[in-house]
Amino acid sequence: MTVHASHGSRGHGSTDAPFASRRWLLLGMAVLAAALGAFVFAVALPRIEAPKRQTEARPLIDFPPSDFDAIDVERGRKEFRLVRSGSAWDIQEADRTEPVPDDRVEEFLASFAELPPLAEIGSSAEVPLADFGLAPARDLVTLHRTEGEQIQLRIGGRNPPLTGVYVEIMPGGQVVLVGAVLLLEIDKLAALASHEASE
Amino acid sequence: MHVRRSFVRTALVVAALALPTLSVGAEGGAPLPEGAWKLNKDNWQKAEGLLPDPVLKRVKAGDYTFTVVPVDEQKFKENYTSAYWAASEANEGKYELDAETCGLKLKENGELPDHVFGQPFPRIDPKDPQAACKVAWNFYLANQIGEGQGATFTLNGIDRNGEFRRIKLWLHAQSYMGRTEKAEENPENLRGTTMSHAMEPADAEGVNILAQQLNDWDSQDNIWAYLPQMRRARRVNAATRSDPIAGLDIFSDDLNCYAGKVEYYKWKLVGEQKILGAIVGPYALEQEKAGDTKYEVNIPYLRGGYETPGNEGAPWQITDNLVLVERPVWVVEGESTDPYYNFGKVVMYIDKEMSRIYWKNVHNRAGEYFYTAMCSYHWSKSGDGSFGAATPNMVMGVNDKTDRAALGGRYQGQFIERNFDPGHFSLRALSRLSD
Repeated sequence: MTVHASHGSRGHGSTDAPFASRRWLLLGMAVLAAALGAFVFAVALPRIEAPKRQTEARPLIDFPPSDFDAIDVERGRKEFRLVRSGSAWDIQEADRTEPVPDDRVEEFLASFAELPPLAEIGSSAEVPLADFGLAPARDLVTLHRTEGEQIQLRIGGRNPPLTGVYVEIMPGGQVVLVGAVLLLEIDKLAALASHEASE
Repeated sequence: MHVRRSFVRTALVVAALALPTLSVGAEGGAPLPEGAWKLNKDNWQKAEGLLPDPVLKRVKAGDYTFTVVPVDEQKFKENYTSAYWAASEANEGKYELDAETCGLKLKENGELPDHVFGQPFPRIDPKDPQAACKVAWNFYLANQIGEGQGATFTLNGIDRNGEFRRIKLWLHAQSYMGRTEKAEENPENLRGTTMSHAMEPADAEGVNILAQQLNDWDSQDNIWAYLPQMRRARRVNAATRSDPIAGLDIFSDDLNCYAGKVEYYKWKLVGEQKILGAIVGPYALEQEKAGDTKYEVNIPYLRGGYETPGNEGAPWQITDNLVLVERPVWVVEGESTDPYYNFGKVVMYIDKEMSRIYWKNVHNRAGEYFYTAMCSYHWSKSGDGSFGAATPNMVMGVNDKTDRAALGGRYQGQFIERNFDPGHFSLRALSRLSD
């Protein structure tokens, strides 16, 4: 305030002219900046696509657990079938059929619906299946749908650090790398079967 | 800021490592029993089905050589005191579990007990839907029989080129719930509490952590960190037990292979088998009296490959004083109910009789396996055999995705204090330790 008064005391005329032109210059620049900002927000930004997420949450199998009414498992030397019976599940192993805890089977199916492929290797027609432990597959999981085509997961070898496992999805023959937790899920069902068998 | 965060992480590790219980160790490695043999790349097939796959793969590749020793089953069982086994039998039918939280309660009135010595569930039926939760409780309470304990130890980050970081700290732990003799006072209703103090390196020196595990079914741990640069104690979020510690491949939840409350996980029994478990011993070490209520245990140093001239295996393998014993285990899956917990499904191998977790395999939230921890223990007993402790002495955490590892523990001396001053585990002490 003091400075302004001091300027005023020098009187108007020639000393104010440069300040006035500078004010106009600053005002012009502010208007230009505002216009540029408006252009960027209104026109340029909408045309720039948001970056895609690195990991899409697309699951290994895109069907809800309720779609399936039977599961065939071949894991090592164990072969068994799980069949939905109302809200419960039975295991069919060798000559026996017995009920199993339904939450275990439901959780098994739910895990497929949550498990995202870590990498897509390609179509089985294009990739050397033997390199991925898929010629032949080591284990098989066949999911029978109440309505619609059955889905078979052909389980191959594990990747070098053992963090994932290669899977061929039929039909379609797409080969993907899935987290090794898939083997844990299959083993949990297999353990269920062996408990039944050991009695 | 980065340094400060590093301090906190370091402290958190220590704190979480401490909660379940410390115990003590041995008296300079006993001579190997007759029948001991070396497991290495030339005979890896002998361990098929007896080690987690990522570990067996490393044996096959020459990364690991282990000494396997036979054990006398009865003598091994006597690593716990006869009082422990008697109490376990007496506990049969006395406890049950809250179905929702897996919390422990007395069958007679549904109340949460404040002291349980021995296994609360001495007999496990694999068909019982709550079997895994019961196994977890047997494990948790056995961690605490040593009452108060402490040790000075290191955390070592190791890659293929050797050690890249070393943190030295001490940790004192006081147990309440599973201790051999019930504590006279427990005014805060705790299951356990710990105090830790970082000593090295300079960027971590003076960081202190106080942690409390409350005896209820649903609370998170209370954790406070004292940062010497700020001269202040701050409350720390307890949901960081699955964060790497100070950039190392080891986690707060690695002590005993699981350091949280039983109620933090959903537990499932997924199998049973035999496994080779890591221990110092294999039989109980002697506790030497060092005061009215204090005992000391001498433990042989678990030398790392990076410290061993001529080592041909992985730099993080243990080359001295560690043995493997074949044990029957429950294979148990644990999954945290905390959405901020970094781990997905964790598979643990828990001794059916001795309630120790020897190995754990960890998957991330996307289902990808990435980490295995080998957890080593020793047992110790007083001269008259009336008091004992089961103590974690080393964690070898290996990140198979990055091919790096960390060693935690490996102390040579540990103490047991059966009558810790409660004031040692207080906010007041937290601030004063670094003054």
